[in-house]
Amino acid sequence: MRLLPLFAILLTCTAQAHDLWLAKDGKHLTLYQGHRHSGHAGAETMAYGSNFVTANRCVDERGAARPLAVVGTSPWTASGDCAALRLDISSGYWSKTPWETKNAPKNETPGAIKSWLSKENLKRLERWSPAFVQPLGHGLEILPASDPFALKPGDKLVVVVVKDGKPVTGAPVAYHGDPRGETDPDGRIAIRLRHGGLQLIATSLELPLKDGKADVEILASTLQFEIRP
Amino acid sequence: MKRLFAILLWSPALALAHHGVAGVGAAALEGPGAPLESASSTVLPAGKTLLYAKLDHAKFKTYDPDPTAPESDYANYWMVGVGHGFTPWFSAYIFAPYHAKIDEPGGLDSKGWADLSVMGQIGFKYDNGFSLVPANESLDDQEDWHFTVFGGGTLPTGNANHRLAGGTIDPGKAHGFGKNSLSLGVTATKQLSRDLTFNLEASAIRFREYTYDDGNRVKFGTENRLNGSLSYRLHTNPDSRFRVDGVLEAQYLALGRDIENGVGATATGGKMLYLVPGVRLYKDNMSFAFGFKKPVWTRLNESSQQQGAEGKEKYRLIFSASILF
Repeated sequence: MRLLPLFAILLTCTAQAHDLWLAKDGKHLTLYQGHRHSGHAGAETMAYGSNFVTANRCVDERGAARPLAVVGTSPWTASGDCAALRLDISSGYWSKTPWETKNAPKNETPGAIKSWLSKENLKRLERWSPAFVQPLGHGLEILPASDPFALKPGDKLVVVVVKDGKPVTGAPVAYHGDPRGETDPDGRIAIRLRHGGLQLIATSLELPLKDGKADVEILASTLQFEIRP
Repeated sequence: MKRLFAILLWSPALALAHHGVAGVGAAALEGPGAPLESASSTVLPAGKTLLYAKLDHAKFKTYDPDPTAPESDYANYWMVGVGHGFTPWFSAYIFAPYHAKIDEPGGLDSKGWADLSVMGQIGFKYDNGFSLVPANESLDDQEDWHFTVFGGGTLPTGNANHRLAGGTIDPGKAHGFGKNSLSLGVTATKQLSRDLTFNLEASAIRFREYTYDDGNRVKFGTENRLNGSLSYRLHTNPDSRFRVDGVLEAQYLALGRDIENGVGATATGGKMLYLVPGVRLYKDNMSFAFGFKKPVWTRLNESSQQQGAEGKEKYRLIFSASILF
C-alpha cells in the first residue's frame, strides 16, 4: 500500500490529461482547461463546448447557497461572491479506435477498442471555513483537512478524497499533474505545496459502466486555491 | 589473526535494511534513493516479503612473493536472506552467509556456511514531531526525515571449530563465533531534492569470548562504524519501470583489538575509511546494486602484519539483488 501502487497512479492520472482551473478577473471567474499550470505537454489552454459545465454550486462560509450569475458558457464565465465554488463538468463519451479518439459513445463508433464517460468537477476555494471539510456535492471530491490558506510554500496539506461523502482508499492524487501518492484507508494523503500562488490538487477514479455507451466512467476532481508566495 | 570474518558476517545484514521499499517499490521511480551497502531508514511495507542475495568479493594486497609463505588471496562472502514487514514500522530479517576464504597456492582455504544472523528494525519519522512510520506515505511524506533503530545479532549455528587442512583451528577462518554476537544501530535518511538522497548510519557490534576445542579463548574486538552516502537519480523510465541511481558511499570502520587468552592480540584492529562508488538499478519489484569498494585511508594497529585483514584489500566488488513481493 505504501509505495507499490505508484505505477497505478501514473497510469490513472493519464486519464486526466489536462488541468481545469478558474481564473479571477475582477468580479468574474472564467473556467479554463489546458496545461498552463502543469508539466504536461500540450496547449496552454484548450477550447471546450458550451455545455461543458453541467452544474455549479456557489456557497458562503456557512455552506449556504449564494447566487451566481453565469455570463458566458464557452469559456464559462460567472460572477458571484463564493467562498467556495464547485463546477460539475463533462465532455461526454469518448471512444478510442485503432486510428483515432472520438468524442462519441462506443455504440456510435465502429471499431472502438476502448471507451469511457468523462465526469469531472472543479472546486475553487476563495476563503476558508470549517464547513469546507465537508463535500459540496456528490461524486468524487477533494476536501482539505485544515485551512490551506494558513500554509506557506513548503508546507504539507492533508486532503481527503471522498466519493459520495465516503473516503476513497487508494485514489491517486497529483499536484499540478505530478502524481504524489495514493490515499490511505481514511481517504487521506499529505501533499506538499511547492510554490506560492495557484494550487491545483487532482484525483481520478475509474469505475465500470454498463450503459452500453462506454466501458468505464472516469471521475476526476480538482481542488483549487491560492496561497501567498 | 586475520580479522575479516567478523565484520562481514554482519555487514550484509546491515545492507539489507536499505532494501525496504526504497529499493524495490514504486519509490524506485520517484521516492528516495538507497545506499549500496549501508543501512537506510526504509522499512518493509506491512505484509510484504523481501528475498535478498549478495556477493562481496574481496581481493587482498599481497606482499611476500615467497611461494612457501602463502598469503590471503581473496574471499567471497555470499549472503542470502529473507525479510518481512510485520507492521508498517517494524521489519525482521534472517540471513544465511556462506564464506569462501582462499589463500595463495599452498595456503589453507576455508569454505562453509557461517552463523545465521537475525535483525529487527523499527522505523520512525519526523514531521512536526516524531512518529512511527505510517502505513501510507505520499512521495511528499517520504521527503521528511526518516530514521530507524535496528538491532540483532548472530546465532552460533556455524562450526566455530572448523579445522583447516592442517588440522588446526584459526578463529579468523572458522565458520562461526561460537557464541552469539550483538549489534545495534541507527540510521537517518533525508531526500534532499527530487533526485538526491542523503543517508547516514551509525552502528556497533559486540562479541563474546569463546573457548575453542584447541583450548584457546578468543574475543573478537568491537566494531564501530559510521557510514554516509549520497544517491542521485540518473535515469527514470516509467514505461519500463526502470530507474538508475548513481551512489557514493563513505564507510568509516573502527575495529577493536582481538583478545586472545586474555591478552590483546597483535596484528588485529585498526581504523579505516572506504569509498564505495556504484550504481543501483530498479526494475519492477527488483533492485540490483553494484559497487566498487576501496580503502582510501587506514590506521591499522600493526599494519605490516595484517595482510588479508580489513583495510588491506586491493579492492572489493559488491553485488546484491533483491525482490519484494
